[in-house]
Amino acid sequence: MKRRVTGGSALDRGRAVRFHFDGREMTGCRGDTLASALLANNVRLMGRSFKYHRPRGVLTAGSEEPNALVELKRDGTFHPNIRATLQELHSGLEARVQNCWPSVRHDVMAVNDLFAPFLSAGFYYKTFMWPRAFWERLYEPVIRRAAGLGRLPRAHDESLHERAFAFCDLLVIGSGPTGLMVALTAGRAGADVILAEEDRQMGGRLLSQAGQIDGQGAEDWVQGVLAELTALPNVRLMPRTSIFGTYDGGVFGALERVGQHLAEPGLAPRECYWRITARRAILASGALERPIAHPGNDRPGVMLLSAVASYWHRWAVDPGRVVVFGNNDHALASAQVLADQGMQIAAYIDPREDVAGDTPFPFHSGGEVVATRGRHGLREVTIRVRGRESRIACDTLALSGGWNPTLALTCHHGARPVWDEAIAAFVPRPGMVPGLEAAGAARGRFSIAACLADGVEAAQAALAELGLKAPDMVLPEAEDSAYALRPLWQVKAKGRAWLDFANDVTTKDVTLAAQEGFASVEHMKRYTTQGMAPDQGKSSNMGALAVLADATGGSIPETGTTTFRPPFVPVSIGALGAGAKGAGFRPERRTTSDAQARAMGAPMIEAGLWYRPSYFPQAGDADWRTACNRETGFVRQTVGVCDVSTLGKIAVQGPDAGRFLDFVYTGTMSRLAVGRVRYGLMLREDGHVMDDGTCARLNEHDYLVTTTTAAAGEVMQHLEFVQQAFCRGWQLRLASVTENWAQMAVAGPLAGEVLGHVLGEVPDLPFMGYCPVQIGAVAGRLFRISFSGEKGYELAVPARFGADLFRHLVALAEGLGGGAYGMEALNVLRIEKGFITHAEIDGRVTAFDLGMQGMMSSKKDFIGRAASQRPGLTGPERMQLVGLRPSDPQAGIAAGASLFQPDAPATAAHVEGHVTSACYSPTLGTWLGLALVVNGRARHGARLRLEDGLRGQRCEVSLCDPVFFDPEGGRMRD
Amino acid sequence: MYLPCPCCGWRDMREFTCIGAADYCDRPEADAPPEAWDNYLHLRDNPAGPARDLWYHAPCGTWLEVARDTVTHAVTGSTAVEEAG
Amino acid sequence: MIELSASDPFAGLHLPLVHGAARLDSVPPVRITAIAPLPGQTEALASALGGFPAPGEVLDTTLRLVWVGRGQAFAFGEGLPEGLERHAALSDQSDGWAGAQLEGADAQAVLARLVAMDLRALAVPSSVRTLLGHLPLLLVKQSETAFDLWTYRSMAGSLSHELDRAMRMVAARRALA
Repeated sequence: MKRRVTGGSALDRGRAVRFHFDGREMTGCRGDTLASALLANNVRLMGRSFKYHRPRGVLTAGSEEPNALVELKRDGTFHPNIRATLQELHSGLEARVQNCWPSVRHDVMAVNDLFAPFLSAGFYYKTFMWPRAFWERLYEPVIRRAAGLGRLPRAHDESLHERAFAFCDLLVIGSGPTGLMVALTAGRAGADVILAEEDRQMGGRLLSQAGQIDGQGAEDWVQGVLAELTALPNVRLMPRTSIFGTYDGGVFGALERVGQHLAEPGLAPRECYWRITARRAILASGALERPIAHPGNDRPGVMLLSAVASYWHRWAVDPGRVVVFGNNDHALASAQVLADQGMQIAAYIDPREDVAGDTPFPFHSGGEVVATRGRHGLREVTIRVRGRESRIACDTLALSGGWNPTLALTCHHGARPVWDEAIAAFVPRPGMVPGLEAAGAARGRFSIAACLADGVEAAQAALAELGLKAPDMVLPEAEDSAYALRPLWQVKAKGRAWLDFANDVTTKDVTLAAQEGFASVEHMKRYTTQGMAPDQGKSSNMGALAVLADATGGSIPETGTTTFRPPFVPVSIGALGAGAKGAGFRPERRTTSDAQARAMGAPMIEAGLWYRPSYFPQAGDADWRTACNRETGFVRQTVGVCDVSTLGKIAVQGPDAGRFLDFVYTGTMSRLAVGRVRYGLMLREDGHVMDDGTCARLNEHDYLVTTTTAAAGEVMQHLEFVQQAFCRGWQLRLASVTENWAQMAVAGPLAGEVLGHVLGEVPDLPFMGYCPVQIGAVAGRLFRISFSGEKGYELAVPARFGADLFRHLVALAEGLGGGAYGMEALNVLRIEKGFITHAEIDGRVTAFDLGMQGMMSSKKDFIGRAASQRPGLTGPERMQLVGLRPSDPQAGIAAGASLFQPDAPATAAHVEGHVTSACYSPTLGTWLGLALVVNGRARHGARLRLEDGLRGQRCEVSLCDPVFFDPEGGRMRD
Repeated sequence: MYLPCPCCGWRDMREFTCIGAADYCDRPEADAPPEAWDNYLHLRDNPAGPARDLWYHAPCGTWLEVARDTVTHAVTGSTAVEEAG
Repeated sequence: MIELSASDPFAGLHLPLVHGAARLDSVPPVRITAIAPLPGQTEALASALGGFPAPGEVLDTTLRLVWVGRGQAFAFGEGLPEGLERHAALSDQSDGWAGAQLEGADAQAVLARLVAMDLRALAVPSSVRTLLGHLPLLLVKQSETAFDLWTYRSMAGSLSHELDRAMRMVAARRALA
């Protein structure tokens, strides 16, 4: 290691860590970041810029880094856009540079840099406009290949992520001098505190500068405070945690690096996405130093002064010969301290004419850096002092253009910060986010002493709001120097001066944008892509605003800022969606017969959250239709068994239950006899059909409503609304009992025989009848209802017996030549009978459309009655339910196909209707369909042309009654 | 975002479903003129400022009217529909 | 006539699960009766039952009465007094719910991965209706380290999947420290 000095507070110097960068093996120390280790290995070139593929080195030492974005190998694949400044080194770490080919030193795309005059702001908008035919075939592929930083891995992201919720009285964001004092004050007061810090180590800038607090070294003071905080049970320290967004109700989004920094994280997540709910929060996020836009400022070796200091103090990185270019007192003081500590300061350049210092290094007031040299890294800078240019050999140029309070989180609710002329920066106003206040450097208080004091004050105010008594705090003594600067946004000299390093935006681009009319800050941003890279312009937006203000002749506050939106730092989609893949994507609802259906080889299909068997295959089946035809045949000829437990079941109980049901159904349920079942239709208040199903009267004050599987939740919600909003005080209660009962349909001519085996004796139940039954010791319910058109029963038992009941029923049915049937056969059976499902009740149909206008009672009010009678919801112009038969019985048809007059063109304007359901009927030996067709009921016998553009089908069909099989219903009744 | 359920207290937004303006609770009489039904079913204000929304808290089955401000996002209170005027 | 045998909602899900300082096991089957007092009948019902829980309450009378929703409580156990149907709508829910107990020093940390509520703030015992991930949840806090978690019977698999994943990660985090 060539570039290490002694010390390094973050390092464990005794622990060497081997890693690979771009295929080269290197050695760092435990405690290094990837960036510090690379610098220590004398690697300055860490990537290529987005547009011009210019060589770039690290600019910062924090999460705001625009340049040092690398691809990191993790779980077998390389993940792009990892900030080398944040990634902690671990043994075996493998990283490579991105955005270059074939190598970072010889990047073919760097040819773009030669065309820079043509690639100026708005290049894409100007160039790829014509000819129009080129958009899709030429321009888009070319742009796509060039666009984006890094490459997306092709494989699934198998990294483990976690999501978690946390709650606290006070969230402290940042652990510098301000944050530590806030946490200490609130912690001593007994508040429930979370202290979140993005870095691995707490302490913020106190870790990166020499100085005394209360007579001890700043780092020792930090250690003392942390020891006290760690000992407090009411304080939680969350290092490696970036707060990335503020949301309504005191909610903060945070991203914690849990295993990201470890060689062997085991089953620990790589990152955890925290949602922290805080009653109060204090933003103590400090400030970010800003660079100066001077020609050649993007060369590897050009860094922020604060970053040079951080790498020196924390990671013992020797920057070699350093030229400091600063416009403020803090920069000068910092350079002096670094020189005292042995850093080679080759020169200090300050644009201010009126500052002077007794410095151990050459001091050039009234000077500017006007050029840099060095192909893959800085070798020399050219300075201009009062019109005279000279060159200084150096390895590092340290920039300090002043400081911007890190206020983004205060702007996430849309409020705008205000301009503070004294520090030439935007600062937050109080109350921009309810419950969140900025303190310390985050609101422009820059000296250590001011931060400590502001932290105590902010904590006291928050504690008062929380109703807690603030403890007496003695302020530690610390540096309290004044901060003065003269803004220097750009050095006007020949050559390109960069603002946004990541997206390659220069001062010239911003000026050009203004000239071309994109003078509003939001327009300039989009025209130049300023601030749109992963770093979101943290180190460049301010400079770009100032250049824009200069170009338009306005002031900076008049120019305003762009909008700050979450996330403040990049957050992987994997973290936001932690756990929500595979079995965790959404809940799975499994019936009690699920395991047996799967054991029988049934492919399962999703019905809402439920899984239901599609069909039950047997050896020798040619395809699924063979099975489907067989199962349909069971039911028509012998007996079939189907688990129908997924249908919603709602108990409606109480003396007013009948009255209530009359109000929510179109028909009258209050006059239903005990032990009888009735089919019912529920409408939405807008007159359209919501759902259909049966309603059974189990007892005088006890009804059981069934819903379709799909609408069970919606119907329950609807019934609760009607009850709570319109039936106040009624003697009535609702309860969902869907899950308590396993319900099996037994259908077919031999259904009675199967039930005889189960019940001993089959009750003499009329069609649409109900009675309680005993299956041995188990109390069950028997309904004589049919969704197949055959003689059918549904037998319900408490769910714990469902699996066993299904097993018995299937075995009994098989013994009679029948068996289990799945959703495919169920669908065929109901289409043959013209029974509807939500394929027909698609939210746009009325009872009239379904031919069920007779079910709408005229003697009472019910939900949807008024609207269902308005003009337009009844009449010949409506699409009405009909049956379809193809003229060629073997012509396959599918749901979704459109219907046209035989000679009409197949365009939207000529559509007469569409197929809602279709199947091959083994019973009738033909394809069948249900359809909604304009004035369909009056057109039975008419011939239309069916067109299915998606599947390329076209055939002639004729309209008919939707009940194809046993229209009198004798099979299910007797 | 949190909403106050009159039954359960402040709860995470993901537990709630928003149905729209609370006007939906003011159902016209069965024989009201078509204009009243049209207004009830289809016409809504779009206030910038204080608003009353109708929400459903699925975990406990409570329908509630929430008073909130569409500009500031401040949620100021709620009443159970069953107990509302 | 056949005799039916019962099966457990967690059958095949390999409970108990133990990871680090958390253990998940199924709650033995118990009779659950949903009790919803009719308007104006809550007091009469309460005197018949020895109380009726307010939102969030768990009352231990001869039975355990757990608040489970708007105007509704579950009675856990046998021996419901006769004649309650005069005051309340009753429905059997013994088979509708799958219950598992999460217990151990890390139980709260595990639930903090799945439940968007501050469980530290809840009394012992108390009940909450909320979500576990996307699953409907009835949570009964038995102690600071033991929680009964009930969801719909059909979702027992998803419940155990979610908890298993969270338990593993919390245990792995502990192993890092």
